[in-house]
Amino acid sequence: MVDRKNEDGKFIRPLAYVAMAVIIMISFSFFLLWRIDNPRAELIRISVIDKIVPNLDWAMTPMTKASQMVQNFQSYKRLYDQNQELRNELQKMRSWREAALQLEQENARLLDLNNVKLNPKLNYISGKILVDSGSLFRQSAIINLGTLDGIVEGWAAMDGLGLIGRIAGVGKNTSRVLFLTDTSSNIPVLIKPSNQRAILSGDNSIEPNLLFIENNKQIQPGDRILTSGDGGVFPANLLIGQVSLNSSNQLKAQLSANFSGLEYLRVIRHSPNAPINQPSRLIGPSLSKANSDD
Amino acid sequence: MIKTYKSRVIFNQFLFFCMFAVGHFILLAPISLLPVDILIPEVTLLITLAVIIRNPDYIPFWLIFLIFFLSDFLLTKPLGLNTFIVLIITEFVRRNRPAFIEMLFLSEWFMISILLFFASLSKQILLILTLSERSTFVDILQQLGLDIFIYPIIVILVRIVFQVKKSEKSISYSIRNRT
Repeated sequence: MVDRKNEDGKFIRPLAYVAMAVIIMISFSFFLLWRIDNPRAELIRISVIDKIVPNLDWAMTPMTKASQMVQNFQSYKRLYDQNQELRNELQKMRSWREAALQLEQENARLLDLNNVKLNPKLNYISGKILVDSGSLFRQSAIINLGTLDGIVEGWAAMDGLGLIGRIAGVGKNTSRVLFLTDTSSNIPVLIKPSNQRAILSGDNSIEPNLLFIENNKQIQPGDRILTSGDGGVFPANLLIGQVSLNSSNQLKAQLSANFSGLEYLRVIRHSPNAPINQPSRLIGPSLSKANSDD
Repeated sequence: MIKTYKSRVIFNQFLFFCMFAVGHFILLAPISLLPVDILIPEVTLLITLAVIIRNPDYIPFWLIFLIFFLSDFLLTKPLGLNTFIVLIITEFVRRNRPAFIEMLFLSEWFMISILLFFASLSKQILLILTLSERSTFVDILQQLGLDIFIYPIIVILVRIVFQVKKSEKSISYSIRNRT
């Protein structure tokens, strides 16, 4: 009997070594696949996440709720101060609202006078954030919308006010939103009122960099940053935030979206216009019509 | 006796998996989506190393593969790279377990530091060779420093949670068989 046990050991040990070698090869070949055919590897990743993450909702919900409760409790402590702040802000907002209403009416009147054709209003679909990236060097989240909800890669994600990021990776029931703060996020923006174009480039901080600006002198801290629509990925004129200047005189963007309490977000449905890729041709009278007239 | 040992091994493997699951729950929970400056040590890797020195049966290689591969998937890391490196360094520790057992804790700590250093160095070299995206040099050094600094705490935790000591004998990797 004792011998038999040893025999088993002798038999299993080489098998284990082979299995070990195979597993090491598998993981390395996955790394190569990830590097060589990145889109396909990311597709595999999102399909795995698609299987796992929606099933975790029951466990995630109590945890996020508990952390929100702690945050809420902390805010109770400075309830009075908050109340005062809110009152002041409300007073300011009232005057702004009045101004906005007047401007809206004036704008509508002027547009009507000029017969302007505007872009159709964007519509959106709202989704819930399931999990975040869980890593310090990646700024993204998984939401509960996927191909079944008609989500398309590249669509813009916003909270109620400002842009958050774009869809990068779509599964059946889930998709990944890559935030503006991620280092691999670079989007073309327009800075108003000087109409300077720039690239908003994430750097793992809450204030992304503004790069490749034509003329720095025309930009003031406080200027508004909007998407420019260049490149055809985002629709134009989505609010991103304001320009700010950091201590080492770099231009940064203060995002309007509130990243700290983000639970739900909107994905903007957007189909870019068909590109004009043919050169202009001669325009003459249509021949078939001319023939029928004879 | 063997049966009770086997059930203990299975229980501890399950425990390890649960620790991994809970840890990743906390990492993934969308509590705040603000970019944070706080570094998080690679606890899973440290626990794996500490346990393997004490009893390799508790974390077999297939469990390492399962856990680190899943972690690569969930945390948007380069697929398979971390798994590959962890498998190799854990196998190195497994093979040299007799030497690790004889060491005092300080020298074990030193050896683990060197291992972690080589692990992160080889990871960076592979990423450079494949022209992949990398985090900054300072970030990597900070992560490494934190991992090394936190290792003794992990060892204490492992001794309490898994009830393992260095003197323990393991069945599949017994010291006597390795001559």
